[in-house]
Amino acid sequence: MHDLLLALLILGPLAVAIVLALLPKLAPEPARIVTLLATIVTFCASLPLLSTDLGGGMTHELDLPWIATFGIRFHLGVDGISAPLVVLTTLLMPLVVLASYGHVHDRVKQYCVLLLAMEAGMIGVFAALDLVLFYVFFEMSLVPLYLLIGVFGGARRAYAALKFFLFTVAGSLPLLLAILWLVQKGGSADFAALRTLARTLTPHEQGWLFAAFAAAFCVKVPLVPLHTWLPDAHVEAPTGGSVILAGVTLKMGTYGLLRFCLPLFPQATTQAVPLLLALAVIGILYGALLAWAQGDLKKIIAYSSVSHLGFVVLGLFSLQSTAASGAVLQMINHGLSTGALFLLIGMIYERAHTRQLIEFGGLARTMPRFAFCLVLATLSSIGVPGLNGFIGEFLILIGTWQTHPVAASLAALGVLLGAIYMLGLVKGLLFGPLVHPKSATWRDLNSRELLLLTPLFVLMVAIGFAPQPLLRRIEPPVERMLEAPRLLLETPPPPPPRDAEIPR
Amino acid sequence: MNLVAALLLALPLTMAAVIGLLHRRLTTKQAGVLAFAMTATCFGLAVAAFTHLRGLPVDERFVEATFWRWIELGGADGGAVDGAATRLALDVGVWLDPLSVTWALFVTGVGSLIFLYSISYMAHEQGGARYFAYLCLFLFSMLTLVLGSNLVLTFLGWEGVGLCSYLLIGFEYGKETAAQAGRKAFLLNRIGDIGFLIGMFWTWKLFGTLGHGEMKPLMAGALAAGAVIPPLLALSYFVGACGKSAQLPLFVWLPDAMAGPTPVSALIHAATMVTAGVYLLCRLSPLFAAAAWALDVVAWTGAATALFAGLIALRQRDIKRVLAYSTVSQLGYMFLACGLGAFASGAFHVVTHAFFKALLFLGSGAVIHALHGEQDLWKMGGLKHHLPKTAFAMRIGAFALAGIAPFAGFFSKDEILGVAFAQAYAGDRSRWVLWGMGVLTAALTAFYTARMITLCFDGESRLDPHAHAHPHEAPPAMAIPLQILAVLSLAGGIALGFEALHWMPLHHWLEPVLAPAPDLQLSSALTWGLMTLAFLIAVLAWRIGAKWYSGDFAAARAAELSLPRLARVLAGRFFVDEIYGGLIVRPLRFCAELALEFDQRVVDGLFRGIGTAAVLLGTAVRIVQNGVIHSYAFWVLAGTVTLLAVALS
Amino acid sequence: MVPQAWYLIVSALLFGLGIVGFVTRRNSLVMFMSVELMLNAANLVFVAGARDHFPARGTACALFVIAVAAAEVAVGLAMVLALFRLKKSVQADDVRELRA
Repeated sequence: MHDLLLALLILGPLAVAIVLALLPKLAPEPARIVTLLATIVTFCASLPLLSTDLGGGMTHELDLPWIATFGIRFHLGVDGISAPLVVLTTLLMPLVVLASYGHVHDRVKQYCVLLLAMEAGMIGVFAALDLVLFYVFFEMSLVPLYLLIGVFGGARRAYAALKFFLFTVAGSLPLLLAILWLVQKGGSADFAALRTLARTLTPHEQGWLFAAFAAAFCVKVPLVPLHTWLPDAHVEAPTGGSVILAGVTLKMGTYGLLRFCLPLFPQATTQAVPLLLALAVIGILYGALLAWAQGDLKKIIAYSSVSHLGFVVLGLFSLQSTAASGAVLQMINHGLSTGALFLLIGMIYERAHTRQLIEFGGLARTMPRFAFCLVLATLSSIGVPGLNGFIGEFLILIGTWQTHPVAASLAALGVLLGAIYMLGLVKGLLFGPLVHPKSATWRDLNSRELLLLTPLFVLMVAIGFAPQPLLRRIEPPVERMLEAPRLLLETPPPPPPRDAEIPR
Repeated sequence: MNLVAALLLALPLTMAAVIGLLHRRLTTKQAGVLAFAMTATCFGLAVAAFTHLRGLPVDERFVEATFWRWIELGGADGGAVDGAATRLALDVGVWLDPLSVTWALFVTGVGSLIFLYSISYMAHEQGGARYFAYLCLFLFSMLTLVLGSNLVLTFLGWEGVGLCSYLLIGFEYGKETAAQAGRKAFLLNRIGDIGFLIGMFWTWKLFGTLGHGEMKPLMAGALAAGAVIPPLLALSYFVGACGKSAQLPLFVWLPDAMAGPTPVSALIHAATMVTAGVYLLCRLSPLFAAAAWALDVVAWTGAATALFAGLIALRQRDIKRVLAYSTVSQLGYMFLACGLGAFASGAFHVVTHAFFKALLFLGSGAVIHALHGEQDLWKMGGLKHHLPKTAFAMRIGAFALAGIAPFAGFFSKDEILGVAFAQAYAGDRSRWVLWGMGVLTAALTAFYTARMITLCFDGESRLDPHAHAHPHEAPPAMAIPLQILAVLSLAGGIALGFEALHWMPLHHWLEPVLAPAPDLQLSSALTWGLMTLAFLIAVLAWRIGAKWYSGDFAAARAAELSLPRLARVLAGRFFVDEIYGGLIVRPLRFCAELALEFDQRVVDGLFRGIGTAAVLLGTAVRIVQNGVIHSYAFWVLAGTVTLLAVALS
Repeated sequence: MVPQAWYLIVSALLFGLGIVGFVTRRNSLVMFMSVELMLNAANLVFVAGARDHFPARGTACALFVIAVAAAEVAVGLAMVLALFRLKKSVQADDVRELRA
């Protein structure tokens, strides 16, 4: 019960961030190296989390009283759903710091401080087992990202940062109200206690609580039609911001849906399934169409995120364990593939100072390493078998098809559309004649850039060929999350075969 | 056997990785030799697997080699809930049975020849090592497709070959058309893949498994019990097969795919990859056989494709395009066979087709090589004097394609027509139409093949004398594969099956795997009669074609250009591409643009509207904030007084 | 002994004077003085209350007010000085930088 690992993972980066912030005159390079080391250490320290409980329970728990009057506790812990997400976060951070060598030259210290604060917040979100604590981290990760976009972003950064901030805050206010209501009613904010409390809620209460929770998370996902902040935020954010935003922040939404909405409000969930499935399918197709119509590289990837996260929501709300496990895996996959794509686009932007697709062409000949990496990341993104994306999409679709064949069939069209726009992107960048007048002078990826992409590619291939180690960890807790809503769906309830055998 | 199975997949993948990683250090020749050695080894392994299976009793001719567990979900519950499967267990493994080994044999066999040929064909191309890395990756994918122990692995290979095809078509980065064609191929294949995916989803729901080994008894049981499989389920797979095997209406990518290097066309777009659809039909033959009218759809699609592509091939000027359309047409025959329930005949045609079509493509490659990239038949002619060996080999391949006895294509094609005739003869009237279409296509095939050969090798030379002063014969590395394939095209048919003599080793070999064909034996006289008829039709059509084009070229060209409307329709390939563009691509693109406008104006506009409303409200209220301290003091005073008044009253 | 009401009346008068002074005068120094007047009016009430009802609490509050007033004057005068340097004027009307 008193495993300090998670607390250290959160407080460690935070402490480094505070120290860096307080050191008045620090040259950029030492700051960057300290940050890099801190994130690498955090990553290594987070690896033991992956030895999760295969029964679906929490491990590495830390449970301390915090605001005792309201039953609010400093309760941390991870299971097979959150542990991979925490590790994904800690993995992406060093890569983001490494990538910053290419594009962050001013205010390096501030950039590092923000990254570390982000990291603490994001790990906290996935590790919190107390609703209030969760909310604190949920908001805590918001502010550094706001500043990352607003200070280090592109030309329209102020607009994008404000939009991002307003959307998320507007979404999370109802969440705060709902949390306060629950805490006041139950006298505790602990997950386990809340699950007991949730059983006593009336359908009406469940309804509005579900709506409040879902609002916050659907903005973060983002689910159509709440997605319009995403492309702006992505386009203006610096590369590191985009990677974190797509790689981790969006997953907070789907994570929240799975962790809270499904188990706490099962009745409301089952009622909301048609709506959410419809929105998910619309998101998949609509996001893909939008991505196709874009000319800005970052916008293409931003809209593709809308499409991909639609798959995740589809998998979760099919309430089918294969699909939901696939959805959790797809969260990881999306972090890897989209992270890699944003890094690659950042790299080409550092050379070309433009992101318009029509200004590129023929880079396969002049930048073969870049071409190889881009094609690999694209293949992962469009779900070509043998790479990670396929496993996630396949599991989501095959699972969803069992309960909702029409939704799954429509979503499968997204696989086709995904290929259309991503191959359009590849063709535009790599094939044909050289378009940009200076493109012959751009150097190919250097070893730093290759180094920071390598872990992502290794994981893509590894998950593609052997996803079972991850799936084995993901499935049991997902089953637990699905228990409550599925019980409601199964009418009449299936005869319990094991209980029947006990008398003998 | 496990080791053999593992090596069959591991070798090509390793070699692809090795060549891919070292592609800057290796010369084209080194990479080619490495790749060829690997492929030849794979062929040896396939032969070993074949002999192993031969040694087993007929009913036990299968080996499942499992390497590791790929995906396992729902293990705790097991069983099915509400008729939906919950346990999904997939291994990474190999399933060896007569069907998969047959494919593995000709894929690696023909593959080795084409790899050998590529070494010298690609010698002068840039990035030849990369090319061989892709080829190795292709071989890995194809073998995974064929040998994978479950449908998902088959799908992995299925997409993998599509991907390699994409990469190899667009091999020359600078060529805009090549990049476009590669993308088109990938996308049209993806349409089919959605069908494949949905088929798998449905199969899992129905059978609770996707493993070939576990499905085999289940499918056979369903067929034997007369349980009707939903036709739509079978058709989902059929859509996948249509995409991969370039059937109507998804065939348009194949001719464009000819933009890739010629050995690629031979390997991927003629001999191996495009037959994956037929493989899938054979693999799932009991499913199709149990699915009511699904097989009829297959048969009609096949016959229509055969005829349609045969018509288009009549007027193509590009030698590779003639061959491409003939491939589509021959694939149509294979689908026709499967649709008639004669899966073994379909597989037979796949094998012979692999021989003679690879030969024709490699031969055309030698011609193109000799003419430094010229592919226009109207600018060839008389090449038999310059390239006698190539001309000889090509002629053998052409006879096989045209269905002239005793070349390979004759036996397999005749068998398919025989099956159609037998079913029609037994009383199924619609089969007369299918048979008629098949016979007509056979005549067309002989005609356009004769046209191609004659325009290329006979008659007066129409070469540009400046560009191609002395075309010369290909080097031995290119010639040897041609000779071997020529032998196979000559003897491959009669060695594998001669129905009239009841010599059908391939059929007996495949029998335990495939759904039983409808048992309709024609009398011996009828069989021989049909064979003679088919032979005569082919020879006649060939004679007409050869006569027409060997004479005055100007007259032949004038004849082709007369009937301008028909010529335009045929040369324009029935405008299928344009129809696709107008009916699907452009509307979809329009939808995308519309969605973008909608997203920016309506959806985002809504949220920006909320923001604007808040700003307006602020503007209205901020009048009070005029910065004058006294006015603030006044408002404070007024407020206090008001509050006091309210409180006191 | 002077009745408590008298203190209150004086306090109210002082407070009223302060209000009128604050609202009507333009010179920021005078405005400050008016504020001081109001604070001291309050002080008067506290002290009166201390004498009659709650000696400790009343005196404590009065002391607090004096401390607050001192702090306020210190900050306020500094601001006026700064403003004067900027604008060469101590008229409150001349400062409208905080207009929305």
